[in-house]
Amino acid sequence: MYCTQCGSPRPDGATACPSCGHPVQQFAAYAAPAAPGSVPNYLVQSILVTLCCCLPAGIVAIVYAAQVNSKLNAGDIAGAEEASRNAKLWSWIGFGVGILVIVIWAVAGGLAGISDAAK
Amino acid sequence: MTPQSDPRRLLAVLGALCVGAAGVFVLYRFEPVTAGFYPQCLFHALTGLDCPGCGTARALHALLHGRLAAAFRFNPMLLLYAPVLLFGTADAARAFVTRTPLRNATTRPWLGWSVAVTIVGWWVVRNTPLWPH
Repeated sequence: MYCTQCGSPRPDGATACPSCGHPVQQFAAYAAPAAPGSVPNYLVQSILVTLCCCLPAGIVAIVYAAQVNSKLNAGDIAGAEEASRNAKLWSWIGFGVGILVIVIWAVAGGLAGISDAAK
Repeated sequence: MTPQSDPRRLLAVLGALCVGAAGVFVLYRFEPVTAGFYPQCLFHALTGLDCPGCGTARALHALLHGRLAAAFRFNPMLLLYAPVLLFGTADAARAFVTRTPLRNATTRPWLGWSVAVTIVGWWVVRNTPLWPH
């Protein structure tokens, strides 16, 4: 690395140029892309809920899941965590409604069977 | 250093695997349309339209019997995302058990957005005469 002010070499990690004293600007703390897997995206769960539980809630979950990694890439960790929570929430809503429909379906089928048997 | 696995989480994953295997067996053995005990789609029952997931059971049944063309016609999203789902489920299970981050393959930003675009597009197209029924 070379000093942006006087052009003399300076050691990595130095906070000021040893030759002219020009301070080294630190930009690393701003919007560095975060590790891709550090916030779970729930993409697989969202696809499974959309395809298996037959509910548009899965689509909402997919859109939030997609936002997680875009935001992580932009260094917006708080935004990614928010999107991750929403993706998880909507996956569970879709899953819950799917299970509920199956239970209602089974109970209705059972009652129909009982009434058929009673005739 | 290998990550330590959580025994309770491992047990939960094994339990889910058993449920999944039972589901695959039922789907292999019983044809969804004629069997009569498969639950109907709520969206389809309410609106008469197909949702993006309608046909997944029929597609899985066809796929398990090696009928790729039929599986594609019932629901192309299943075939399209089968690799993502298989790898992604395995990776999510590994991350869950070992409490470590997901690996990169399922965390590419373009993947999430392509899933969103293709599934919404498929939802629209399948409800037009463009898609053969």
